[in-house]
Amino acid sequence: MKRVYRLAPLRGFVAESESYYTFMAEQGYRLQRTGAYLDRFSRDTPRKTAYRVEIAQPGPEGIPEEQRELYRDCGWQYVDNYSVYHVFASMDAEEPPEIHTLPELQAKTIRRLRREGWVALAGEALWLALLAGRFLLAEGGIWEALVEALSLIVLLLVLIGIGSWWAVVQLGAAGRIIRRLKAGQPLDHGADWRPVRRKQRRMMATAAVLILLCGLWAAAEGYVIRRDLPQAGTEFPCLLLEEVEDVRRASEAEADDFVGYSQRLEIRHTLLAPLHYHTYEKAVSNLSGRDGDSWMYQDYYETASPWIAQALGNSLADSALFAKGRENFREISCPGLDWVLVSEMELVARKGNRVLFATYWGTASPESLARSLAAKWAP
Amino acid sequence: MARNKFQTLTEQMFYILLALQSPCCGVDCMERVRQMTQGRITLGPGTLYTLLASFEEAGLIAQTALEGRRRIYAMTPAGREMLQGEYARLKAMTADYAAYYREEEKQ
Repeated sequence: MKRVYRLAPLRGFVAESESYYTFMAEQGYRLQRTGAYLDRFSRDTPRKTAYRVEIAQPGPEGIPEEQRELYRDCGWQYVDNYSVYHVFASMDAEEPPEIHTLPELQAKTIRRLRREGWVALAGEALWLALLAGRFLLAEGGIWEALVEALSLIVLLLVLIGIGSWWAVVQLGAAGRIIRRLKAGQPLDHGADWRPVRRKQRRMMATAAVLILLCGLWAAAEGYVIRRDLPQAGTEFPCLLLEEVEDVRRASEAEADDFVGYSQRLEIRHTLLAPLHYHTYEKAVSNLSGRDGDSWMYQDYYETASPWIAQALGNSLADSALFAKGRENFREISCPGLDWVLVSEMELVARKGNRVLFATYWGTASPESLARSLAAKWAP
Repeated sequence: MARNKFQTLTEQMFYILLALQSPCCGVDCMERVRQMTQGRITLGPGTLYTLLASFEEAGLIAQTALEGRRRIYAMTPAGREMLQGEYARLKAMTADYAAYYREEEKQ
């Protein structure tokens, strides 16, 4: 028996779903299973089959056995269900009695469909609240997330938007059915399903394109290029330890770094920060008698505009690992830089659309780091 | 409670109660209604199932037996009272209607 899968009808359009299944049966496709996105049909001899969609509690037990028995006695066979949608079919040559003969009473069953739409919409609102909470209430605020993961945020928003759009369409359709039934007009079981199908295809195509574009964008933003850290003296916008104190770059053995992370440069490109360098450098003192190494983490951004750089700088200061908050930094003035914050181990500096955040352990003072940076960024 | 929910009966409700003066299952009830009304009123299984559940909840009918998966229902005294009340209301309405046209003919 050949199985064929087709897109499940747009939920909420009850009469159009019924006429679509009838059309499929006339083409020789008998509905076997109905699912969230796809319906399964079996190839059969074309025959006239009437379908009815009942809205009831979700799951196979949503229509009690005694109710199915009553329907069966009247010529309606239970086919399958997905969520609150229960499908019945009648292949009787003689037209079986309609399942619902009081439209006002049927309107009450359709209310469940509307409730389901509201629940779906509430679910999307909850996702949105969680997303907003995750980024707005995150340490450092939203700017770090926006600069580093804008594509991911947009992708999540698109997914929430698509879910909400679907729910709103279902709510609208359910509302129209309820109004019609309440006015005493029964459902038009022969309604033209093609316009709804076209609408559904347009919605799915739009959703697929949006998801694909956002997915590609997220993949591009998430792509990291790894290089060796440039040598001191080369043109490079980040600070290098050899330029700020009397040290030499640690060898692989001295770095004691089995993951190969130190002396490396990671490069990323995002929409709000077209250039982002992340570095980690370890150095060994040239001075005899001094114990310990120097090390420095840095994040350097060239943002799309100076105000983004400033907002990002504040955000980076807020989420600083050692200073633990913007209030534990002090602002200093440094010629050649627009804005500088320093703490015992951290430095945030901005000039135009460039911002640098450094975490440093060594002998140089934060002020001297700022001066070195100003010299590097000098035109 | 029953009075509030079913203050007046629709045609379909009226005939379901009438059909359940003697115990029967859902399908038989539909058939009785069809026969009583000479096919003028057709009851759908969905409508019947919903109404039977509402009547049972309101105490107008009660399940008297279970034959396989089929439930057998019969009208309760409360249901009978409801039906009689509705019949009286309909009779009063037809009497009013007849009286109005008799008056008009006299004039």
